[in-house]
Amino acid sequence: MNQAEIRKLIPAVRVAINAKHRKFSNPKGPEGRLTMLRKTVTELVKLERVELNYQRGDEARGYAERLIAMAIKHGDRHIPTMEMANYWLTEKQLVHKLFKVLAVRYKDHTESYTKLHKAPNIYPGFYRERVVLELKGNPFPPLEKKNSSHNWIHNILLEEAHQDYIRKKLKEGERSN
Amino acid sequence: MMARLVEHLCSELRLLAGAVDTLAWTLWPKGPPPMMAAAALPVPVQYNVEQISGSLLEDLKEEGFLWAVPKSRRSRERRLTRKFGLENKHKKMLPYRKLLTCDDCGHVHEPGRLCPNCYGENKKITQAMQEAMVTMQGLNPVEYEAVPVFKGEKVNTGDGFHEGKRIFEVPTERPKWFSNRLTVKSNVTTSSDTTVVKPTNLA
Ligand SMILES: [Zn+2]
Repeated sequence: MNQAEIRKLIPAVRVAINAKHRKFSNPKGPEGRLTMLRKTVTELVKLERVELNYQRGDEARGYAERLIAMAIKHGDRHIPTMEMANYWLTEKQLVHKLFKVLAVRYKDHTESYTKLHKAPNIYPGFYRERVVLELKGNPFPPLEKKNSSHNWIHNILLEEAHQDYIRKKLKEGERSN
Repeated sequence: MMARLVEHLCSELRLLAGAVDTLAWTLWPKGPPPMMAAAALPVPVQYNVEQISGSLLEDLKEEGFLWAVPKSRRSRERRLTRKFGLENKHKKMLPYRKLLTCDDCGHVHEPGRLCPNCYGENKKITQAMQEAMVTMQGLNPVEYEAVPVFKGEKVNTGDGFHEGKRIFEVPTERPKWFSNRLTVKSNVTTSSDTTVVKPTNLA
């Protein structure tokens, strides 16, 4: 009974999250870790697409998702949500963006709000796995193209050929009649 | 001053000699092997200071201690095994074959990862766009979605908005691959009498 109510208080995060957080050993301790993650989340909200190390990107993704989910659920007239936004976004013009742009953009989404792409491994390199973390619906060129599209040149040509064939058949039918 | 220093050194050396002697005795109770003879030489206490220090130090300098050395020859088989591992069990340096060809540009990429060539191009234009977007937004509250207008594209707006989205001008030309429709040339401006070229719907 109680559990169900508690569950309803917090919006579900739509990405897989590790059972245990990453510690990110930092000279300033857990506080330094959070400062670092705040920086990443702010960067993500500001630029909408950032390249990071995998561990950091994956960890920051959960926090960003949670922040957007809270903004969508409670809006900007909810004190705890506003406090969260104030904490996570170090540049305050982005608090407006969170509530006026991102919350509106993702209002009807049924999936996660961010996407994590694996960046190419450059040889020779340090072999730290790199990822590209982006907000969905950003204005930049897409990173991964769709598997197939009717806009592809061969599909357009095939479609035209098909139309030609049909026209030809129709004419022949008219002549024979 | 000098005399005191020499005296001090002398006593130190005497202690060292005693220690070496004890060590040699513990290691070889029946007497040290010939190579250790110099180090374990019993030093007469009554000797002149200069003589003692000179002889001991020079002995150490010339011969020193002999550390562990190989006792027997390492056979060829053994040497090769140590170098390259066992024939059947070791990991050989083989060419990496888990690669795919990119559908768009033909470069190879690892499965499940972005293509390095496509991503490189994308990154360049994305960075230019981000820079333009951030410059446009500045420190003012961000209240609208942003839409790019590339160099050579014309949008006639008085207030800097297009369909409710804030326009930001990118100083580079729109890349040909970044277009909604392949049949329309997106980065070509028509003649001056055509005033409006709508930016294509993006992403
Ligand atoms: Zn490619």
